[in-house]
Amino acid sequence: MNAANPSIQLVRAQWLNLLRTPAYTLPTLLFPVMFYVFFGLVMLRGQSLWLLCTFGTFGVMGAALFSFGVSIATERAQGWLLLLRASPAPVSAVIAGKAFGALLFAIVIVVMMSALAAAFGNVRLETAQWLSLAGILTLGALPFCLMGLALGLWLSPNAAPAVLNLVYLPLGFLSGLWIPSTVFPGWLQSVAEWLPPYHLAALALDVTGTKAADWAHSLTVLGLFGLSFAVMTALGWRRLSGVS
Amino acid sequence: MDKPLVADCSALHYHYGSTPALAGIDLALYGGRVTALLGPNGAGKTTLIHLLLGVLPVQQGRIELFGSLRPGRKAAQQRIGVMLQASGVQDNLTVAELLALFASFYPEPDSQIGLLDELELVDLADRRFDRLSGGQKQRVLFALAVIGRPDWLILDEPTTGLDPGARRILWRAIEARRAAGVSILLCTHFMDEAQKLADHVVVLDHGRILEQGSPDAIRRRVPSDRIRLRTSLPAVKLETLPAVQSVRVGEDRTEILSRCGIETVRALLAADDSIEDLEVAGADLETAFLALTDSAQPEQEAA
Amino acid sequence: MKSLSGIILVLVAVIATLLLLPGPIEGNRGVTAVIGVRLFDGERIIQNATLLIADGLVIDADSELAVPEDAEVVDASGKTVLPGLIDAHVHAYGNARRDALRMGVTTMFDMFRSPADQSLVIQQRESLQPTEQSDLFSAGYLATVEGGHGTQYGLPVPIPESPETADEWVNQRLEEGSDYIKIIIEDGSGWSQPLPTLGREMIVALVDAAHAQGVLAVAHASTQSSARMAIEAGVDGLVHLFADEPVDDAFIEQALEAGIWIVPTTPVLAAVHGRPVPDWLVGNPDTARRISKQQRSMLLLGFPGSGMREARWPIVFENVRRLHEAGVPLLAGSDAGNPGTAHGPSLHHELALLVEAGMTPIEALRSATSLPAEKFGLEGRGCLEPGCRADLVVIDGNPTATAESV
Repeated sequence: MNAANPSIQLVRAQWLNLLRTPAYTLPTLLFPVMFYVFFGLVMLRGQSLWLLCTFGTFGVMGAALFSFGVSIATERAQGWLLLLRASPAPVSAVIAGKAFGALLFAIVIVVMMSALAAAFGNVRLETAQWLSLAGILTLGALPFCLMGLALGLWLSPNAAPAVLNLVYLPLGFLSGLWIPSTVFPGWLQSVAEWLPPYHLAALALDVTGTKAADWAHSLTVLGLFGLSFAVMTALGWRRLSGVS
Repeated sequence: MDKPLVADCSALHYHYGSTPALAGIDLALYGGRVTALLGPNGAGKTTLIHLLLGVLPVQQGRIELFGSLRPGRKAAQQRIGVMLQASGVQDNLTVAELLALFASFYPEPDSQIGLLDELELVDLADRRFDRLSGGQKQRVLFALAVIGRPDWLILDEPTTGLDPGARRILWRAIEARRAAGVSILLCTHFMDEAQKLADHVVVLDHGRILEQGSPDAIRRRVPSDRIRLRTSLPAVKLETLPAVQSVRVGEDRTEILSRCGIETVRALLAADDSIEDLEVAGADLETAFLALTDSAQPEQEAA
Repeated sequence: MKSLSGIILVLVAVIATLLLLPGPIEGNRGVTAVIGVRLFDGERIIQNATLLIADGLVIDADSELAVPEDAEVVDASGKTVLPGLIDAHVHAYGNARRDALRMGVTTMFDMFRSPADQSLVIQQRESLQPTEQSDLFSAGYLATVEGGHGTQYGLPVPIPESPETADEWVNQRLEEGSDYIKIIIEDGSGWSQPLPTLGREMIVALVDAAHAQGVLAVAHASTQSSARMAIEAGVDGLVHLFADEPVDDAFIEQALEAGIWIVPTTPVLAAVHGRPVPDWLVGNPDTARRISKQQRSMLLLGFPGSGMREARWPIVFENVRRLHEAGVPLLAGSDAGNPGTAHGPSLHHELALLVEAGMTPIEALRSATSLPAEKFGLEGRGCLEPGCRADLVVIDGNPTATAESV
């Protein structure tokens, strides 16, 4: 194992960060899972599989937004990002460390929800479907990582958590992640169809055999969404000043 | 001096929005020596350092590092070690974890154990950064700056707020690097630190270079003592006394900045036997620069 | 590196959990054979039958069927298996769909509800997965006039403006997901309570618009004269039986000629004619445990002033008997959601009343299975033949009141 690789070292630093800040890690992991238990397993018992897909999307989206958004903003404030930028650590390695944290969160959230869905929601899927669901949702977190990164670079450290919540919760609701968008009035449904989380959930619903999705369309929406935040990230990175 | 240039800045300007921070810097920093960068807060020292590191983009002018490299290039960053004033680290990592992390950024890092030993951090290796004292933290940040065995070390106020013991450890480590031929750029508030460590001093104010030269030459132009007193002598007379740099007549007392307090006081006592409330104190650099810059920029407001 | 092994440990745990998560229920993939049953396949009784099901569908059903070797065998000797029952007239809100399923009603035709969750409803009824709710087809909003019948429940109703805009009104319903169009013809004359109602021209326009879009047009009519007007306008069926006067020969002739069907909704008629529900419906211990407290109090609730109309109750029986004897198709429906009814038990009430009025038990069962499926064009429902949905109701003994859903 080449422990002297900066990416591996930054992944390790991120891992230790998660282990050593349980006050951040545990709520981030448990919040979406708790939501799923309330809505998907207690209140709407017949809809456990559907809601597993949508709350899974909700959970990985949150993990991605917060691991990137809040932590980048905090590290800017601490001066840690400044020191890393002044060092020869590759930018890609810095982002890899963060991405690792977000994807680890994502997969742990999906797996916890899946286990609860199987145990208490009577959800049964083929092994390939369980794996695809975890895979789709984990990879689907990537565009939201970029969104979090862009927001973390553009927002002030104090504003970041509030703004992220302001984006996260309505985005989750409007995309039909809490209540299926099919029960929305027509105009709201057409709003949902423009939102990226809707399309990630659509893919999750497809691989679990719940509802067929238009893969080309959904992947295009997610791709364009990721791309636009990649551009914003690049601009935000260039805009960083010495004081940040 | 035939030493190679580590940094060559010409006509460097920088603005934060409409506020100018650097207003035309031409500066050549030569290898193998310690350059001290002196200046009051807001003089543009940190902006200059950030431009050299490439964490701020050059807006106007030109910087070349190690002959031909642009700031921010990986090849340049690998040869630079840096200790920043405003920098923090992921503070839940231990000292050893931070060192291992930074060691991975460089092609031929120094021995981590050797550094811990040199900076007297061995016992603290497994302690988290956020549980260290201020002096211990500064030593760790220094270790991170030198772990890549840099050719050029940039230190922004490395000893501010440190107790004498910790400061001595750092001075020793800095001197060891100088002896090994490492070029050093040192920002400091302490004249004695500059005097002790630097080969060359650059005084910066309002984004311009005010003075540069050997520490002794600068020292002669910078007051070291502040004398306050009540006296019947007029300001014109006071200004002619030995070692006096500047005189300011206040409502209550008169303030004299002097390059040599004892010499001036001796002359004062000889010239006026009605002196009252005499008080002599070491002038801090802020005060000293006010004196220096008062003559250069008359509109400078007295603090 | 201790931390790297920690990361690997978490990843291994994650993947192991995913691999260990349970797969689909075995029986769902393989074949289940229910043997030794008295089977009603929607049309007829087959004695000592074997029923083969897989993936939520019926593979085959007949006597003397060979049971595949790998099939899971359920011996249900002595029991009767029916297709999931269909209630052709309900108003589903609250727990309606759960309540109904507990009593073996697996499909319901709603005759007026908000279409807000219609997409979800459609998607759920297309699923073959096990569920705790019965499937629903719906008219969505009904067609009535300002202040007319249907506007008194507090649910806002879009009003069709004029015969010229009937097309537009119908298209809006279909966009909302309505499965058929329900038209109210109610002047209140049967209840001595005058009400504004849709005009003939409008009714014809709505029926034509529905037919142009290929969906059924059904009508609420509570008097013989309004029922005749509905048939003249071309509706496909009447979702109530009128009880204002005995059915006359002219009506029967007209109904047969037009090929319309009628949903008697005797449980709600019983309630509006001041008849209390029979004791077996709420008192039988086997049904009592399938009825919630709310359902029970709903069943015991009366319509205000309904006692005065009790004298007209025999007309209901007489009309059912005559229409049935004449061959007018009757589809079982409860109008549950109204006082004196409850989702589930009231369909059994309807069946019992239909038998009391002269239907044979088999005919009554057809009226709650194959007949409504045929009239509403539903494939795979109300039947237990190859290809049908495996919505089963298993009951002990005589098929009338007690039911046990699987």
